[in-house]
Formats: sequence, structure tokens, C-alpha cells
Amino acid sequence: MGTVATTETPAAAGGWLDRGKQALQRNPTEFKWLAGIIAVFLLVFFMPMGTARFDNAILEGLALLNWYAREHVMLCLVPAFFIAGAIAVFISQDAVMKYLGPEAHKTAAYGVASVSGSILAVCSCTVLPLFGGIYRRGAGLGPAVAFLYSGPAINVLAIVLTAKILGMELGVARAVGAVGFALVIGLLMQMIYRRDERARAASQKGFVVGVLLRAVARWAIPLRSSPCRSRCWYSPTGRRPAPRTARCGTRSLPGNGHSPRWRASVWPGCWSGAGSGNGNRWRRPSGSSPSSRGFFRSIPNWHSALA
Amino acid sequence: MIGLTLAAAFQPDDGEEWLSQTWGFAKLILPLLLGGVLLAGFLLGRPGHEGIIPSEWVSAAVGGNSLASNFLAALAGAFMYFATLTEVPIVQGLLGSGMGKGPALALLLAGPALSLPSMLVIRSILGTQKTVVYCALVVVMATFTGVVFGTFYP
Repeated sequence: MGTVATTETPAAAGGWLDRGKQALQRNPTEFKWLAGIIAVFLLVFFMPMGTARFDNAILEGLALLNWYAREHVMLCLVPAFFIAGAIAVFISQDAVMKYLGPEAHKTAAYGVASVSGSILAVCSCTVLPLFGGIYRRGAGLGPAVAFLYSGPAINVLAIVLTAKILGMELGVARAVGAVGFALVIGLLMQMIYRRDERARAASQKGFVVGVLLRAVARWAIPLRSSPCRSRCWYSPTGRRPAPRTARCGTRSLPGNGHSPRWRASVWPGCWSGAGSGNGNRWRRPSGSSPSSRGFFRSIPNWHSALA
Repeated sequence: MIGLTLAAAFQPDDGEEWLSQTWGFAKLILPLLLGGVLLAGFLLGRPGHEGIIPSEWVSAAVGGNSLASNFLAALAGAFMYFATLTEVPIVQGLLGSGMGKGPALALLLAGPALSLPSMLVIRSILGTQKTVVYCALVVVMATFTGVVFGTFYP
């Protein structure tokens, strides 16, 4: 799998250092395990158990977790997961893209995002699954982030309470600030990542031409230099893989300096476009692992253009 | 409500997909969220209780209206977990022990929106770089707003 150009290491020269480096290259996961075990051991060896502050802190952590589980999980999170799932399934991608996507009318998109954020999210944790849902369904980064911020921040009850308890100035400042922040941060995120967003929008719309191009390219490029056939792992953000972590077939994936869209067009199995990924793990192209059934159907997105 | 949801979810096709997506979100979000809550509680404690970071440090750090105190307030707010409406009594307590109005506003703007668990979850959806940018944006803007507010309404 690691096909670094085979440099022969003279048996004796360099000795254990070289052999150690080779071992590290060959078995990265084992070394990660070792590092993790050592880190955990050091942590628990040196933790100041017995001091009042530390013990109290541990109890506080557990107490907070307990309170959270009781107050929030059943009433806030579980419904939110269902709603997010429903958004991901039932609300058509077109609808989301029409109102919140990168090509939607800007003011409307941010307005909708902010308002729905403040309406839908009463608890700050409900907004996270919803954000994930609309983001995957094609909402632009800007409106989605505006939604994410405005949910917990523009909480009418909290603002009224702030004004009453902490004074009118703080209350008004908080209200103005929260609304303003939602818009500004959304716009800034959209601006900073406009190229990624364009690639993501492109991959989600599934341009027919792009699809055909990718299909052609996939067959035209010889097998050896197309490393991502069935063994390539790719990251959902579409910016990598670097060859080692990706465990791809060849050492150097072309396109490391190219635009995300070019990469997505040439290596369809490797890149699914920035951000249209589905989670926090490296994973194979859809269909090649049992757990990807159903849930990871949105990857790669260009398939939907053919359906 | 749960019964209704489950009944609907077990319809074939769409219902199954719905359940699968829901489960996917749950798997994605719950471990990170709960781990984050545990860590936040360990560090800063529940509202009204102390974690491992003494509250004297906190109030010493955010008095007045300097840039540093605003920044620290925004940062603390970003990492600390605030349930809905709990930020108000906390800020009240901090104001009582010497926090300036500017840092208070910074805390109010950065607190409810961000927390350590939510940062972890956003990271799994957007990726590390975008998450860092988002958090940095929130903290920086909250800091500046706090400074501006503090100069006009000390």
C-alpha cells in the first residue's frame, strides 16, 4: 500500500534510526495506538487525584453531564435528530438550494436562515443537527452559518431577560449584536470560502457535462495513475487525501495543487467536492463498505445527476 | 410524539431513509456533544459551581474594559456551555464580582452560540479549518463589540 519509491537502506548504515523510521512509515496505526496509550497513561498517572479542587472538578463534569442528559437529550436532542433526518430526506435539495443555496437571492437567504434559526432552535444543541441537515442538503455556507449562529444567539426570551436583569443597554446591545453577528459572520464565511462553495455547489448540482467528463476521465486515465479506484480514502472536506493518510495506491496524487473542482472531476472517487461529505471520517467511495449502505448515499453527489 | 415518529419512521422506503439519516446524525453528534459537556463541566463547572478553573481567576481576568479582558470574556464564553437562559444569572454573578460591561456583552454574544461540545460537532460537519475560522470570527467580533460597548457605556 505504501509505495514510496523503494530506496534500499543499507543494512548496517544508519541502523536502528532508519529501521525505526521505516517501521513508522509502514505501520502508522500501530504507532498511533502506542502514542495514544502512552498519553492516556501519563494523563492518569499524573492527575492530582485527592486534591479537593480536582475531585470537585471531576464531580462537576459528571454533574453537568448528568444534568445535560436529563434536561436536554430527550426533550431537545432526540426530536432535533428526527427533524434533521427529516430535513435530509424529505425536503428536496432543490427547495433548500432555492432558498438557502449559494445562488439564492442573498438577502432572502440570510433572512430565512436567521429567522428560522431563532424559531427552530430553542435549545442551543438542537441547532447542530439542523445545521448539519441543511448544510448537507445544499444550503450555502453563509446562510447555514447564519442559521447556526442565530439559533442560540437570537433567543427572544433570553434577550428580554437580559434587558430586565442586566439593564436595558445590555439587552439592546445584545439584540442588535446577535442579529448583526449572524449576518456578518455568515457573509464573511461565505466570502472566505467562496471557491469551496462554488465547487460544492457544482458537485451538488451535478453538472451533466462535468459528470460525463468525469466518467470519461475515469476510464481514460490509466489504472496505475488512477489510485482512487477502490482503495482510496477521502476526506469529506475534499481537501485531501495526502497519500499516506489516504492509503491510496500511488504516492503522489496529482491535483494536490489544483482547484477542488478539477480534482473532483478527475478523481471522482477521491473528492466529493469540499464540504459535501458526510461525516468525520475518511471513507471509501460509497458502496464499498457495508456501513455505507443508505446513510452515505449522498456521496458521491454527482451520481444523483444520472438518476 | 416519539411513538408517532417511530410509527412513521418504519414506513418502507422514505421512512427507512429518514430513520437511517436520523441515526446517522445521532451517531455523528451525540458522542462529541456528551464528551464536550463532560470536559466543559470539568473545566468550568456548573453555573454556580466551580470546575478546575477557579472563579477568582475568571473575575480577575475580565474586570475593566481592556482588550484583554474583553477577549478573555469572549473566549471563556465560546468554550463554556450555556444552556438557554443560564447565561443571564452567570453574567449577573460576574458583573457583581467586578466584570466590566464590555466583557459582559462579549460573553453574552459569544457564549450561547458556541461551546466546546458544539465546536466539536461543527468540526465534524464542516472540517477543522472552517470551524476554527468560524470560532475565531465569533470571538474576535465579540471582543470588538465588547470594547466598543464598554467605551460608551462603562
